Amino acid sequence: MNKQPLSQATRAHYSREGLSDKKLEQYEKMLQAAENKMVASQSKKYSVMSAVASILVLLVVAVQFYPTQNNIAFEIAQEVAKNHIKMKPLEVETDQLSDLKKYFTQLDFALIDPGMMADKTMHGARYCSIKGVTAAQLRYTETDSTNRITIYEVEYKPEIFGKVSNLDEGMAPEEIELKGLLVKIWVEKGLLLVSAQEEMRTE
Amino acid sequence: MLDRQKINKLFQYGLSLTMDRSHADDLVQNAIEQLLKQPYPPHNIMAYARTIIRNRFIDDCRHRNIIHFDSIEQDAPILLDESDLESLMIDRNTIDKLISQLDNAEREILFLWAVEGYTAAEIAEQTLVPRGTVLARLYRIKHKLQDYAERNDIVETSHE
Repeated sequence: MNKQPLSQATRAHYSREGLSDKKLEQYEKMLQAAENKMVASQSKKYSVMSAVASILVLLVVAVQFYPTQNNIAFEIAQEVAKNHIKMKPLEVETDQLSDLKKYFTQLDFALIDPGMMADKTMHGARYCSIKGVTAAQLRYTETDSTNRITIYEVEYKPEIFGKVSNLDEGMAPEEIELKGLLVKIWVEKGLLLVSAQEEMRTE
Repeated sequence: MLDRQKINKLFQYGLSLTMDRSHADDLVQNAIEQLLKQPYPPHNIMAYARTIIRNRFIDDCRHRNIIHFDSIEQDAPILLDESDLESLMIDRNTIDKLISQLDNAEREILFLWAVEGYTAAEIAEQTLVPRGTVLARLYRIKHKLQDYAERNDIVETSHE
């Protein structure tokens, strides 16, 4: 018999259920119509003062949806989400990767500057772990907001972390939404990277 | 806002409450209609939508004179930690039958724990019930599944 943990079996059970394409299209049209109406009324309101950022953006997040979810990926996402929500104090406060490299002497790998964070502001880092492996948690904020992003860097060990999308091979990160957060998991330059941030919302 | 994946997740949540596709669809449609009436999108749109679905489900049950969620006795046994459920190893071909053994409240908690990744404290906050009630229901989930499985020889407990 093919046995798996209750949580994984439950996720697989519900992932097989869904609305018909017709229904989904109907609901998308309802949401789109409301979105268009709101945009039209906003544009009307701010037609003269259009430099002010008050536009509603409808975000369609392309998330890879597997018939059976990767349990290890979900466990990683849960651990990272918990750490992000706790937001323990930084051990080193700096915006320079070189300072972090001097601080993190207990890591078996060299920290990298994640490509995805190129336009974000770094605030510092702290030690943490993912699935028992010592890791670094780096903390960023968006340039034009206070939205916090935590990035976890750890040596990629396939026997522990399973198969993960590799950015260097042109694959997109795996995305998991839970606890109001968007968690992304990927491999970059031989390291496992995981990011967590609040799910983007319309404004 | 809501994309297809999120809409389906709301449907799955509705299904965990109702075990009826048509009823779950109605709950989702009502939730979307209510959301569209808000002047501004709520901060956590999924949690807000689930609350609308839950409240509507409770209203529907009252209209039909059906008990929506069974009450829990005051000294009912509780699970110490939701991670205790992880020790259950399930044959994936029988999960449907196992879930059908649970009542509305238990299916809801199982969904929020397994699919949404919430802890008992977070489930309590989402569903506005005491954490002790959530832990008591988790206990009942575990033991119902174990009892059913033992009768049918389909569940084992991992001792790792």
